[in-house]
Amino acid sequence: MKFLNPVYLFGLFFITIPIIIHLIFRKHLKKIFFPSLLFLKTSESKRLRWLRLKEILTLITRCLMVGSLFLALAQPQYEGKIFVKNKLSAVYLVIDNSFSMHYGRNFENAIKYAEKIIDNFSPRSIFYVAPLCNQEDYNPFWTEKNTARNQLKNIKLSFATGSIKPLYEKFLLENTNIPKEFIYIGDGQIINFSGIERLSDFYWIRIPVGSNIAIKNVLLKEPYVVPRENYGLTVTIKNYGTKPFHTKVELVAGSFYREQETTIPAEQDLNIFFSLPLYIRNGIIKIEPDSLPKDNQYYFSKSLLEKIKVLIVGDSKYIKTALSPTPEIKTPFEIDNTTNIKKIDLRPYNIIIINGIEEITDFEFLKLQNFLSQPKAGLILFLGPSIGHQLRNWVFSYAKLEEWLNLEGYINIKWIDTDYRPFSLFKENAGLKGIKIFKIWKLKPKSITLMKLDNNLPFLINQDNIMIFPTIFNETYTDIVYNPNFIPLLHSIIYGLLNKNIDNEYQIEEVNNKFKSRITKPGFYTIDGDTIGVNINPLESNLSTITQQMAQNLGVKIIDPNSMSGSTDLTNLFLLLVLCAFVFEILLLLF
Amino acid sequence: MKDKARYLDPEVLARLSNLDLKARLVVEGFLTGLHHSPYKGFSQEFTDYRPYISGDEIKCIDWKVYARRDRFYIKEYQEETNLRGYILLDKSGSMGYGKKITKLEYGKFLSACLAYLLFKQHDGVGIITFDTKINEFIPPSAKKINFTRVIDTIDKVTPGNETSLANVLFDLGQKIKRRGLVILISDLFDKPAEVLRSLKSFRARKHEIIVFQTIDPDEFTFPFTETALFQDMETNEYLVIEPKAIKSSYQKKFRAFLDYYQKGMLESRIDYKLINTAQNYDRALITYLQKRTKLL
Repeated sequence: MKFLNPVYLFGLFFITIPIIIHLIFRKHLKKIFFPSLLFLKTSESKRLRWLRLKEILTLITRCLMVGSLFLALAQPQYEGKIFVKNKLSAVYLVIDNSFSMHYGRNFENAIKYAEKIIDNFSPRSIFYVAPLCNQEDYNPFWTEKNTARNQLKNIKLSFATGSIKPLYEKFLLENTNIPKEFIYIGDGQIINFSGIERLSDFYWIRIPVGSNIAIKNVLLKEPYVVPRENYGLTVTIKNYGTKPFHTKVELVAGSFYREQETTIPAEQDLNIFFSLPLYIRNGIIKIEPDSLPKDNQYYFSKSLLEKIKVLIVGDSKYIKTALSPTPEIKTPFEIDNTTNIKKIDLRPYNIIIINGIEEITDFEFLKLQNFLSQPKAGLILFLGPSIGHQLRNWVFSYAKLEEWLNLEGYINIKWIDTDYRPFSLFKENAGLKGIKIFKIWKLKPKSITLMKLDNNLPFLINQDNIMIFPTIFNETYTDIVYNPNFIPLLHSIIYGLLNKNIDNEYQIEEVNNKFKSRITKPGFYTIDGDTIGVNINPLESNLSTITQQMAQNLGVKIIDPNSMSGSTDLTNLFLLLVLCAFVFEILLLLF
Repeated sequence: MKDKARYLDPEVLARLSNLDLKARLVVEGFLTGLHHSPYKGFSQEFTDYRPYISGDEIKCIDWKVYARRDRFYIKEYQEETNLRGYILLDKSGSMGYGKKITKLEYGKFLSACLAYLLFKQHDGVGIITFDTKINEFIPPSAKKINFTRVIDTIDKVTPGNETSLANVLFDLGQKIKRRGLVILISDLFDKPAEVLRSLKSFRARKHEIIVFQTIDPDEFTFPFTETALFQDMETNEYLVIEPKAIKSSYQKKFRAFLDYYQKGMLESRIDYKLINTAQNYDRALITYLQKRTKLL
């Protein structure tokens, strides 16, 4: 017998209270001297015997009531065998194959325990063997012992996380002629039990868990500033534990090695930044020590800089400088500029920037439409004060131009949509809001607005692969060209139009020609002898398991896998005893 | 006269401290209510002279005094009897019970009154107090000094131990050789059959016996209501008792106990008087006087 709240056992001392009251009452009982007890004794000897018995029974009842109450509060658990040999049942056997079961030999042990459980039941029992994750790959069904045992062998560890809820709901709907039981073999992570309020006939074969540190994210950041010599890599580590965790983060890329030691506060994230030279294309990040190393060993790979061909139509003074300051500095952009696109083949270009031209011809319009139909092609349109009929009609599809505003002073950028992925780098960046706009079109957008000025004037309109600014980027119209955010803004718009993320997530692609395409599917991959986890749900590394108290509240019976014994909660039994004692005392008072 | 009669009330009497005085008040108060004085008579012992009044017998005139004084005087003599009165007072623990007046106090007053009455009637009076055994034994005598001793002895009696009435009566039977009047004042809380047997043996020796069984009103009515610890006044044994539950049964048993004595005494021709300690003494005294009249 053990107790979940043993502190309440001190309450058993209160048993002395009824005893003391009994003694005090007895001591203070009115004493009457009487000539002879002869007639009293003989009169009602039976009655007296009953009174004495009643007195003792009352005392015992009160002691029992107090004792049982405190025992119930202590939540006693009786340890004993749960599964009787040759028990006839319909058993729903769920094997936890989620990522957290990678710890030690947890998964292998889970399979072993499952076999043991299957053997223990009667030959007439039926089994429904299901993995917790990736059930669609297994197609479970009700079957007899031997097939169930074979099904166990097919279950493989998963990279994913799983939920008991859908399985349990299915279990509840099962109609079996024999009593049914739900047996879950796993480490009992809280996430596995999410959404469940109450369970019945539910047994948890408890498998121990490891530590709870995980790499939550690895972020590569392209440099925005020139010259581009280094890029940044940020590793976000989550400590799910309740104590600070001291760890060493290692970055290995061939002969390049960096390490940082740090302490992650309890239940918090910590970002660790590495600055890497541009020539480092891939490598591995590890956290040591950890009981689940596979989720804390990430492969990162940075794509080769892809050349982006940009054509600037119109004024190219500031834009060209922003995209490619000097021929010596490597940038991904190849820039041409023109004033007329009539005679230029647009197909090789990825981005066309039209900066302040007044009009386009029908032919130019058709050429641009044809260009935009290409994959990886985008158009950035800067609108000047004078716009011809044809251009206005084209723009009308995206926004209605209302009036040109020659402001006496200026207005600022008020808002930028940082939920638009390329703009996420402007989160908490106040620099953009200092940009001044002097002259601008007042327009009514029909498409998505990504940036707004004061008075809610739209500043950047986006639809598909077209971006429209209602002004021209030069010093007459705005001082943005002098702002440090000008280059990142331009870069991020171009990357956005080409569906490229500036923040490359960790990914594996074309390493030594082993993979032909980028691997994004979550799972484990072996590269050069290392097992690498890709897109593993970091929650799986949260090894917070349901506590005994939580299990009790849910109605889960916890079973020790080695002895196959579990605790039976006796709280209700003792509460019942309290009630019985109370009723018995009332009956004693009546008689 | 009426003032004296009020001393027959035990409660009033309990407030007085001098037992001799108490007895005197009770007896005289009692006698005042009777129509004739039985205690003056003739004997050989001269007591006083008094002037002759019309109607006195001429033979009673003392002619020698007439010769000296030329007046008629009558000569009075103290009456003498053969009656020897033994007052047996039970001083056992159970006699100590009583709220306003204990059974023992009542018994003491009664003993003193009877002693005074015996003394005034020139009968020999003795006192025996006892519980498990005889504590005091003052043989009967009509002398005043003996009476004083008797009163002192009664005055000093306090409740004692358990009762062993049958044994005591047996012992007394051995001691009292001469026939006499035995007055037993007790609650008779002993084995009734043995007590009766002992009394019968007294009777067999030609003693005249009067038994006053003193019982407190509480013993009749059992007025208790709350559960309490009842302690035996003799044995100190105790019981937790719920009075309501046992009252009727107790009263039944107690009545049977009294009835047994009453019937037994009647059969043995022993004068038996059940005395409620709330009652006046006159009933007890009348019982005595009736008995004395029979004896003389």
